Amino acid sequence: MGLIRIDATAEVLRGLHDIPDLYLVKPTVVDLGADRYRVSAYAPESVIPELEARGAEVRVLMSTQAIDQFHNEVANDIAPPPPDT
Amino acid sequence: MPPPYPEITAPLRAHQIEDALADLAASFPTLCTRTVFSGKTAEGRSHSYVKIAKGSGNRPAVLVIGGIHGREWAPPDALVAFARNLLVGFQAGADISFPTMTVTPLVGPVVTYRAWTIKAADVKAIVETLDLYLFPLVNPDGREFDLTSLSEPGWRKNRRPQAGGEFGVDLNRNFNIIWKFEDYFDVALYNASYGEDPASTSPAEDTFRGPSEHSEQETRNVESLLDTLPIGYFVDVHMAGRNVLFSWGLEENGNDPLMNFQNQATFKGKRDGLIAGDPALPAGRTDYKEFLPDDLPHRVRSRAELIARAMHDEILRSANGGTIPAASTAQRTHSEYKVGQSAFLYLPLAGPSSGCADDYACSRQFLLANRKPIFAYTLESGHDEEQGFHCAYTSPPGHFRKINREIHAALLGILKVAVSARKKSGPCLIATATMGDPGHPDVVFLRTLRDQRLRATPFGTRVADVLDRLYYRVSPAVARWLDRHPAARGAVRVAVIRPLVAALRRALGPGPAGR
Repeated sequence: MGLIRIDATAEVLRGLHDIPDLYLVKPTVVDLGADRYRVSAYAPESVIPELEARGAEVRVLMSTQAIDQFHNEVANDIAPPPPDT
Repeated sequence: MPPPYPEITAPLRAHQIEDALADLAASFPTLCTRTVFSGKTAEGRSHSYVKIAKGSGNRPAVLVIGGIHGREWAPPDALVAFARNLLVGFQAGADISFPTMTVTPLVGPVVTYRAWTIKAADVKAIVETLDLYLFPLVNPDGREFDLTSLSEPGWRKNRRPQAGGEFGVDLNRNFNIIWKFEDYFDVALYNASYGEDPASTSPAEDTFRGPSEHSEQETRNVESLLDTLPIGYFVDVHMAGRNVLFSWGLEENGNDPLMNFQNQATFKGKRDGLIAGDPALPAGRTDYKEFLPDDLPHRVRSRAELIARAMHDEILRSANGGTIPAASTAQRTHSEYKVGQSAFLYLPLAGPSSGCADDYACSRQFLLANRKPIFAYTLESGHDEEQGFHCAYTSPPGHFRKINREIHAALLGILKVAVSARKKSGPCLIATATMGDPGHPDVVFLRTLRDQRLRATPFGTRVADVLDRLYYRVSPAVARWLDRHPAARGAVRVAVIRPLVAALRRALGPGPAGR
């Protein structure tokens, strides 16, 4: 999954619940005024055309590939498990 | 590991956090005590909290928790860092220093933040005035699963096996506060507005509330602290979103005592979950609002927001070397936390929630004798431009470092309030001399206004301190003079004190009666 930012109207945002694999991070919602809101979400890039078809503007903050690379780096950085596990 | 402690450069494993707390208790035995909960998690992990305090007696108590959601990396680490910094700073009598830093957000150019310090005097006041309880990692199983599976959007719940082969309960929907939401809300109305329920009843979902209220060991651990310790201030640190949320999260705050979570006889299934003015409220129906008192001396509703704003302001100061940055600056833009009531800060996507830690904390003041007031908060730290739940600790640079600083700042904001709330000024000499009795209702009103209302925030405390210094330079002599001149006393009473008190009562409410 990638990390994306979605700008849309309230009606569009409320209608996104039915999109599989789209995970809205609700605490990030910001009121942009004029019935436009911004919220971040995790989703595969394949979801973006559907979002745009519903009237949302989408910006990719981190691609799936970039996140995978980040995970690989973190896996090397975090400590090993405790010795007794 | 004795101090100095290294900078945290990767999310800490659950056992590292436990080791860190044990180390602090061993390294600072007169200042820090660690308590291990007797119950273990589903995966057999122990977890613990620390109390940081020098001195004893009846002191304001503050509980800060983190890591209730496994995937939210920064809060547990920041709370470990906060405990370390407080203890090292106190013992050394030194400031806690945050050097100049540059942060690379996912959007926009690199931002430079000036050095910022928590003053040694503030560290001293916090440790010597408060009982500070830090519980950095509520959900160690969830964190371990998240750190070892490394996927997005990460793992939110704990890891206890559930029906249907599913795993985990959302601990922040599992607390014993309107847990069974269908008994409280008009669920059809709620669902029509938000497209989902206040919590999920499906074990497959991220917000699964659990098989019963406080079914989870982790939940019961937090509840036990809130039930047994005299907590007056509570902060649940989460991520991500840059929000400071104050109670209630059950519904919009209101002033009708009958509208309260205990009144099921009248409101069972009738809470609408809508903000005032929402056209979705059926015609002729009264908008339900959850009671939160605003009467003197505690002014819970007003002060709840004032304290949230104190946290917000301290975060902004931390972004600019100790002064709030100008509105147009990058430091301001990237450090601006929204302040709002929990129930409706996430409109239009979400409304009130059930079974949350902050609401459980807030509810204690209505259910436990002598526990009023309690101020409860959720801090949503971090942001999508800092990689959401899984912030970077090293590259891109600065994400965790910035979030860590913001959490320190927010906690400093509320802890300074807790410290200042304990501070009291001296008697109202002139008013007492004029009215002839320190228990006169007008004298009590003025004293309460100064000690409770004005001292509700760090800024108000500074104002009160300045006024105190000026007042006590002249007031003893004036009071003695008034004692000797009955006619002047009567004139001051009629021309100054009574009109002043009447005006203040009109503006601020009646306040306590005195004797």
